[in-house]
Amino acid sequence: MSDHVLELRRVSKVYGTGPTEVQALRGVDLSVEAGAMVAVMGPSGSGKSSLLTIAGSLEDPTSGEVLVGGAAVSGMSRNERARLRRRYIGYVFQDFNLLPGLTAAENVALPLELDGVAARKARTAGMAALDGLGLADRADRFPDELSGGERQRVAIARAVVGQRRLLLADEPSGALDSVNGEAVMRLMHAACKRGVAAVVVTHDAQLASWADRVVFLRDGRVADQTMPPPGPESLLASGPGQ
Amino acid sequence: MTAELLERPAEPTAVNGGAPARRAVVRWAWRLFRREWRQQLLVLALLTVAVAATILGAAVGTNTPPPANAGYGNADHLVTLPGSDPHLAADIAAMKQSFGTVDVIENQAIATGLVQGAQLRAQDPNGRFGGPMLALVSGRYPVSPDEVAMTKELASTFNLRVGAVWRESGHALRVVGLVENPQNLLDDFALVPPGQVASPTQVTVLFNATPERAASGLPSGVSAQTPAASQGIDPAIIVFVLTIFGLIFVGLVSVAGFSVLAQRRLRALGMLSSLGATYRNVRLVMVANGAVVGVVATLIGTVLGFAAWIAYAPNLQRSAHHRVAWTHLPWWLVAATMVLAVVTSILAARRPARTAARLPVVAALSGRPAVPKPRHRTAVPGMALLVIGLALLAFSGGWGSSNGREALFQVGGLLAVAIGLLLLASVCVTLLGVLARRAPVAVRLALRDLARYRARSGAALAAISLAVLIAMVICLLATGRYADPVDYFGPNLPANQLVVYAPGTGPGSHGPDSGAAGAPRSPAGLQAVANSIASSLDSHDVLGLDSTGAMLGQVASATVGGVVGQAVRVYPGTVYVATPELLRHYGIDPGAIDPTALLVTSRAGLAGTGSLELFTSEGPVDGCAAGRCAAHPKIQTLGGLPTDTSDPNLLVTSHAVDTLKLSVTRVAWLIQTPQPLSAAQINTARQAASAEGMTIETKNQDPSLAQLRNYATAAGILLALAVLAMTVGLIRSETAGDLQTLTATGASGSTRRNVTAATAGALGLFGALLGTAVAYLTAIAFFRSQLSERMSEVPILDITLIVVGLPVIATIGSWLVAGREPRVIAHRPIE
Repeated sequence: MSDHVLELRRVSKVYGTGPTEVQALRGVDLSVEAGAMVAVMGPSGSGKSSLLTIAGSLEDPTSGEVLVGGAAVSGMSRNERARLRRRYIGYVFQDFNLLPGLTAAENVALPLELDGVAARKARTAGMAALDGLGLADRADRFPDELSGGERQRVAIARAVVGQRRLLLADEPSGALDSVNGEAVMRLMHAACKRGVAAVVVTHDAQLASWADRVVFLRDGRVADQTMPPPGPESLLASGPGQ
Repeated sequence: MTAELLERPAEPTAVNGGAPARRAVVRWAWRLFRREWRQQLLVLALLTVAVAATILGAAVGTNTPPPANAGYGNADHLVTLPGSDPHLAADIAAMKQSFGTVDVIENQAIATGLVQGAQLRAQDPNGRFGGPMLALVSGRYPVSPDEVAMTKELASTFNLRVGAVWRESGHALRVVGLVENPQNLLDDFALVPPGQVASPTQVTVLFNATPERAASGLPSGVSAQTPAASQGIDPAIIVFVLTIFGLIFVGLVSVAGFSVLAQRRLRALGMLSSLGATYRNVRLVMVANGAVVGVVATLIGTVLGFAAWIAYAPNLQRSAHHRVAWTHLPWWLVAATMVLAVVTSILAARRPARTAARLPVVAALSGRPAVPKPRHRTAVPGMALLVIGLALLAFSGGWGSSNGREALFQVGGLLAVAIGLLLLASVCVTLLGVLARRAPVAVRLALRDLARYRARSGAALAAISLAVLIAMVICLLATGRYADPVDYFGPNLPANQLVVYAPGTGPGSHGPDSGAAGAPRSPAGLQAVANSIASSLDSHDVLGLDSTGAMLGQVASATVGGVVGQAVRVYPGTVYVATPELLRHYGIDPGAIDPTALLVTSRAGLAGTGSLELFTSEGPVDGCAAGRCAAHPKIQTLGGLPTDTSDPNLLVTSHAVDTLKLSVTRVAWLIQTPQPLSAAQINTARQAASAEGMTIETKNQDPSLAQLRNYATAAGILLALAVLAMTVGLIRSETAGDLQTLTATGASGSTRRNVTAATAGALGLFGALLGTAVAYLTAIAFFRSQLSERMSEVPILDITLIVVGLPVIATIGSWLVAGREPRVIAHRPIE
């Protein structure tokens, strides 16, 4: 068994039929190892979001195979996919999809509770995740009482809480200013350093430079894959005299 | 900052997350309700009103009929003996010997000047059986022969209070207290100690005995009565059936409300799915929300219902004429209603919950509702239920049926018709899309949206149709009831009329000896009294009314206890004589009377009624013997005569007087006053009449047919408009994206107004047509064998108001409030 957390094999996705048919993905292959961050870039309509939703088991490919943690998603029942998302996959969306009505701590603890973890234990874990992201003092705030950057950090905490091994982010910094955007990428990068595999869809080349690998999509095909130049952290690491 | 990859706290086993997942989801649903309860205000309000109205209705319905033991107190038997019975004392003594303890209540009629009269009563306040029929309001009970206690109304009539002296038949009695009969507040009496009624007109003996003992232990010629077993449907059952109707209606509206709520929460629900929530977890969010709404509305409704009942109970006592205990409620119905309200809310939330949970996660995350799948909906179940319901009504015996089986047929028939209508309405909504083809663009868009969003528009159309159905059924059944030409019903008199009756001739009188003061006056003397009363009321319009004692009745064969006999429905009012003076008073030329007609009337339908007999006061004895009875009397209808029940609306002609050899007596005077009578004027007239042993009658509180129909129509229209206001708002908010596109393509505010107005107008029109059509079918089935009598009058005004007025009001109202620039709803953060 490979150590690929995510594998997409010849994945295609077609929406609609007949004259309304749209080919979103055409035979895409993609592998993401544990601890790797892959950035997906491409123009609008190139299939970036479709790739992410298929990778996260939110929708099925028209053809091809998706493996998460070595297990084929296509053979899973609806409940098994839900469990897969609870235990393996964390999402971060552009517009801070925190659930209204739940505090930051409750939002973070929710995937654990949905998985059957007792509320108190789930909250302890959620608080630890928030503490790790410097949000312990915001634990009891509701989403509409948090700033945009704080909401996205809470979303990241929720995406990595528990034993999540795959972090999927769709324009995670799209609604943030550059400072907060950089902070979010730094957090995801830190998560990857701890063994999480991440796929990040972004339009921003500067943010993509945080990734270990950049995949370019065009018209549903992988047009190119590059190894990016060393990221900003490498600049910090390579100080004077080194 | 660092993000820790934390260890899972425990390894769960349940695929669905088990109880912790359910708790988390329910907690979120509760939080959402607390945040968004205003968006569910209409559903909350409707459920609250339904529960409150049911509790109030159940309380009123249960407590309105007189108590089952009214007139019996604690006894299970009573014997009524005439005061003139020479063996009275012996009979009472025999009953004491046979049954042990008995309660003897002596009554003697006293004149008050009002048609209902009063009694001088001798009753032991500590009697074993009469206790529930006597209560002290203030002061004390009389204990000595020169003391009396009386009801508040009687004290007011005689202008007495506690401590005053009442002179009755030459005796001076000091009023020591105010009393009442809690089982009958209309029972006006003056209470004296036992044995103090000198010449009772009637004696009631109360006792307990087994049926066998009661049959064998009575003196010969005396028969006992027992409390009548209730033959009608328990009012609580009727309220329960109405509650089910109401909750079906509320449930339909709630489905639409929860659908929109689910649509608004779609992205949040998608988010929940993306976090790993299962289908059941997502569905539970909406179902739990429905349960929370149901529980909150039920609790508020229960509190409001009880508060309203406690506040209304004193009024009910006045209108029902007996004391009621606020705790006397059908508690099973209260409990069942509370449960049903919660269940209704949960059931209403289930369908939107299922739809939202089934939606693909990606579609939910993007806030896109599911594309409606074209589904063939069959009208067969709705039609079948409608036909079954109509058949049940057709065999329910129509108006006047009283046995349990027929009542069940009526309740079952109405329920089946209502549910059939609801099913048909949701099918009919698809027709709207078909009608859209050739319509202008705004109407076309509106109708197609209605057809597309069937979950909301179908429920809305069903709710509107049901509101119209209820209103129209009330209109048609009331029209049918008022159209009964024999059992005439309605207001007795206009507010500016007063009838003065000669001694012993008014409604409910016991004959000329019922307490007339002093020596009987001559007819001229009585006429002078009537004129004097009229003068005191600033009126000179006095019409003498003559009677012959003749009665009109409808004879039909009837089976009672397996024995076939005759049943006679006697017209309840007085049949006056068509004197030239009376005819001229109403602008009728006496020469216009058909010389062969025996009766003239203002009652449409009476002339065509079969099996009528005009008979003398002796009744239709010996099979309508010639000379004393006229079978199938010729009746002439005269529109000029009045229609109120105590007015001279049915008259015997001089031909009838001659044919039946009737003797004519002046029995009453109808006084027309320039203004409606005030309470003071009525009291003055009553005192003047009482002094001469006469009685008066003024306007009662019975509603007119027009009032009933207008109330029903107005209520139906308001209910339908409320449903329209909500559902049109919901449908248009769901299609806000379309409105944006419409605006972007250059549509003006008036186009947007037209779309909204067409949505409301179409729903209103279809609902009105469907509800009215089914209501007519219902009434036709119900009055099946009496169609020509009961349904000859068409309530044109009410039908016009509903079929034309409702859609027009809906169209204009929605046009006025619509037209704002649509809000951008796409791509907004869910929090």
